[in-house]
Amino acid sequence: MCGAVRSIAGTADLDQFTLNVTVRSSRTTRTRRALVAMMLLVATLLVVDHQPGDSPLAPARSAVRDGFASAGSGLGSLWPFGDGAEVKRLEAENAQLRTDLDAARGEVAKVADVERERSRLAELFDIKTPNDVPKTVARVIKVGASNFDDGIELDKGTDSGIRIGMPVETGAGLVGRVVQASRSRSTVQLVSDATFAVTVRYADSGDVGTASGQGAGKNLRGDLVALDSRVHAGELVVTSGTDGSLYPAGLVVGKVKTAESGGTDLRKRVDIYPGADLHRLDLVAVVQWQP
Amino acid sequence: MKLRNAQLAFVVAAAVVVQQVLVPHVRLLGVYVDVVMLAVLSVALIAGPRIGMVAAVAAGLVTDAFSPFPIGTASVGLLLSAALVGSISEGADELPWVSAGLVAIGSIIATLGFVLVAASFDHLQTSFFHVVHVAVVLAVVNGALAPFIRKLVRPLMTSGTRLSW
Repeated sequence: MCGAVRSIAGTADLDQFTLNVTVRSSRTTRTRRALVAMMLLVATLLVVDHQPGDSPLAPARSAVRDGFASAGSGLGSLWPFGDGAEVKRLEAENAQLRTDLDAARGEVAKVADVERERSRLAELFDIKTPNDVPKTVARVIKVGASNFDDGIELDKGTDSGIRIGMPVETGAGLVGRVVQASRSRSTVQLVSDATFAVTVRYADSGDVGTASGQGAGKNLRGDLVALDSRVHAGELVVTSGTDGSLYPAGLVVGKVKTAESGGTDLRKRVDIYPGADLHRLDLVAVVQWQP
Repeated sequence: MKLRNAQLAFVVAAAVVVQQVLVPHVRLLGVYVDVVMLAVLSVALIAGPRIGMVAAVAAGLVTDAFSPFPIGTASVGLLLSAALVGSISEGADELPWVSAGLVAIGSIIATLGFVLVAASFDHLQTSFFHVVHVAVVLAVVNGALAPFIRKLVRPLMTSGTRLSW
């Protein structure tokens, strides 16, 4: 009797176990199918959005950015920390700017005369420089909010004439280029980004080469400079504006920090520090230039 | 079903808004806190792999709308980590350290997945050290926050109709 009861209980346990295994196996199969389906969906979107030129997903991306832009600007003011430190930083920056302004006033007087002469010559020879191209001034509203993207976001977009590919600068030098633009926002890839490159001309020696980013907080690397070149420390580096270039000629990129001939290298190693202070960006100008 | 979709959408949208609006002010050891990743892994932990994967895809797509990377870049890593965390947690105890460990492992997978996809589409060049640094810090931070976030997300996900995808 006792054995029969044990046998029945054992059979019930086995049935329950079999049921559990079946349910779990069914769930695993459904999970796998769902995973494969979602991976296919994501892979399709990746390939479609990676197409060169205008992505068909760009309107959807813009709509999401613009939608969040209006909501986000209100919520951003709710952040309760950091304002005190920000005020102190701004006060220190203000004092420094006053000192710089005094020095700059003296320089302006000298430059005005040179500029008059340059304009006359440019008009005479029909040469266009960055100063002749219209610019849109925009405010930086977000700096690198992701761990693998140190780009900046501007408070203006296509409604203000900003288009993908346009160069962005401060008075001191090139900041980067617009890589995304919705109606009211645009994203700028900084010159320090490791995927950024621009053809440059060294102002004194006249050498032409490329300058490329090496990551956030690092200087630019100058390439394609011949060993016998006269490129030297302190030399101004500007965009070359060669045919088909993404940038107009004459935009300041930075200054040469070091130019060395390495052991077995066939080219000089040039270290360029950016002209624009990429850590303190506030107002920038988007140069309405399209190649 | 409708109520559950609304709950899931609310959690994802709240995480994205917090990430975009408040997190730019918060860095720990030089790394931005990833609230979206934490929310997705918490959803996977509570609601299982399938709902976790839906949250991962949705959150990844919206996150990518704000980044210069192609749409879908963030989703791949989040999707894989949500599938793994959700599957393991289904049979696991609800001990805080189990949640912390699973979310830490999920964070590493999500970070590496993102970097691999972005790099393979030529949208990212970064150093091995930076990737390891970000992955480790996110694993530690997300792991430490996971038990608390789980408590926060659970009522949002389980109130009203029962989850049964």
